[in-house]
Amino acid sequence: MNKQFAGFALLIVASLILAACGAGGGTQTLLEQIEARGTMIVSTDPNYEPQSFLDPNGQRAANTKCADDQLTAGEMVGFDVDVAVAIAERLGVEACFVTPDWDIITAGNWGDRWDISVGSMTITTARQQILDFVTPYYFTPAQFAAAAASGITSVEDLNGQAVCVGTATTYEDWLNSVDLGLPAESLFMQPPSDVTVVTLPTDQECAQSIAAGRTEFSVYLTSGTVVDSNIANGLPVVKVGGPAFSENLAAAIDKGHSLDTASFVAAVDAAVNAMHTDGTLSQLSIQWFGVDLTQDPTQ
Amino acid sequence: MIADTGQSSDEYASSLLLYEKQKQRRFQVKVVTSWLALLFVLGFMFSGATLRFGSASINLIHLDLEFIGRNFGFIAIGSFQTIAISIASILLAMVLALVSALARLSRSAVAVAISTFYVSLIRGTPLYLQIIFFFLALPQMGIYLSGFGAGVIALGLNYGAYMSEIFRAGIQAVGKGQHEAATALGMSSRQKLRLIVIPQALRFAIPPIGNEYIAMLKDSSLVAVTGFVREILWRATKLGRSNFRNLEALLVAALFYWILTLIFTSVQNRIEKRYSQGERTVRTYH
Repeated sequence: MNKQFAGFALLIVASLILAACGAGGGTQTLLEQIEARGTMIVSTDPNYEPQSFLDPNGQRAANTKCADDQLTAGEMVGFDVDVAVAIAERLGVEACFVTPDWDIITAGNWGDRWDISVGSMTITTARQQILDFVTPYYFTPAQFAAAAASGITSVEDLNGQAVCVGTATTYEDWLNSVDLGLPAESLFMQPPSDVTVVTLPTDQECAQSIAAGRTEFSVYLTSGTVVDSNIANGLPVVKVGGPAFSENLAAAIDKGHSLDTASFVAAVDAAVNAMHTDGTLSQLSIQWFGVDLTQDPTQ
Repeated sequence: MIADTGQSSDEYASSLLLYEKQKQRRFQVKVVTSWLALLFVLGFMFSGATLRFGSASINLIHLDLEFIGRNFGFIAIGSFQTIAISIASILLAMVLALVSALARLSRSAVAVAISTFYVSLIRGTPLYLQIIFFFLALPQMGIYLSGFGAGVIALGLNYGAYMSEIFRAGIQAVGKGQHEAATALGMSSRQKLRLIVIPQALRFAIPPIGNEYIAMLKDSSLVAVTGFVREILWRATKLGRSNFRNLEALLVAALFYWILTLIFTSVQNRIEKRYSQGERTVRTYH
């Protein structure tokens, strides 16, 4: 018995060491690896229409190079998805999608699992410690909204209210007076001082809780595009006041990647700049949001 | 008695048996009809109807059936992932649990320490963290597990720790007389384990293992945090959020989990019957 057990333990240790040796790579850069692979693995959070959501009738792209456990562009829809596909096209590779939880994406240290996040991520000082951001591809206003029946219509009415936000979002940080590192001209107001912050898994639960008749909070703070989509879907909510602050949304790349990412960051940055110049981004924005959100409102 | 009815004792015995069988049948029919009635009540709660009692009225829960119909198939496909993860994980868990239980009962201090350390560490930390660990921490050591692989290893280790106690109880429940009889027959300790102890321990362990498996079916949804596994609950929450139909989407997911549970419960019943062949059990009506 004892001998068998020791043998078993030895086997486990040996297999761990073997696995560790087997994974050792050459001195490729991330960009070279992506080009060799022919695919760019993009993380996205398909909880949000119109940015990123699933197509229940979508077909897996034919002759795809994406691995079996990755989604192809044919199974996903939305603005972020189209932007990711356009970036990949400019790099001459195919975009493949994976869908980890949002707080895992923003936490960095992706363990080389995916190459890039194209998921409407706001550039903040804290995130810049762990992620490299490229040129923003669009800008959205942060917007308060409230249950239509609550009678809350102006920013002054927010005092004393409970405000719902999605977890690990800039809206949560801003309400908690965390310095986001946004330029001063992007901040249109001070966070209301005496609100209680309620955090739910995603922004979408906030609006749905209100629609379901829950009364723990009547107010939520999210992107103006999400509020527009909530109203368009018939949820009983209204916008409260003007934009609270403007967010610069950009693709992000993990600083903790084991390969050199500099050339990849530069290539994606060049691709986004080219898409600004040739109007690709404006056209996609108008297609998905009805307005051009790709111009910096503070310029 | 026998003389009064004018029956032979054989006839009397067979009529008694027939009566028992009919009684069992009637019992089963009653169980099934009650199930159907309960299902009907449950379904009615989601009909969206309004019940009026004089001036008072109660609104029942309203569902967007069009949304459900449109997305039913998409959520259904997630069942394959859910089943695959659960089966792979439960097999791993059973092996780990058996090894760990045997180590726990061995006379080697090191084996006992390894087993109790494993059970304590795994039961003392959240499953969510274990999945994230295997997926995002191991790459630093150069070990790249797929989302599926990391999930199966985390779930297998986690349930193995819980099931280790089940196996230990099962092994200890094998009577002392069985050990003595096996020794008297001249069996080596390895033969005794393989032929006498483990088969009987398994029989004791099957009902609680079935229970763990059903719990695992639903815990398998945690593996979706890795972003590479798209099982039932993941599909339901994503569709629910982007379409503002969380309740409908989650109910569809619930339906599939329930169906899977029913299927595996019946499989478990069969295995249980198979392993208790030749055992005298208390007579029950099902």
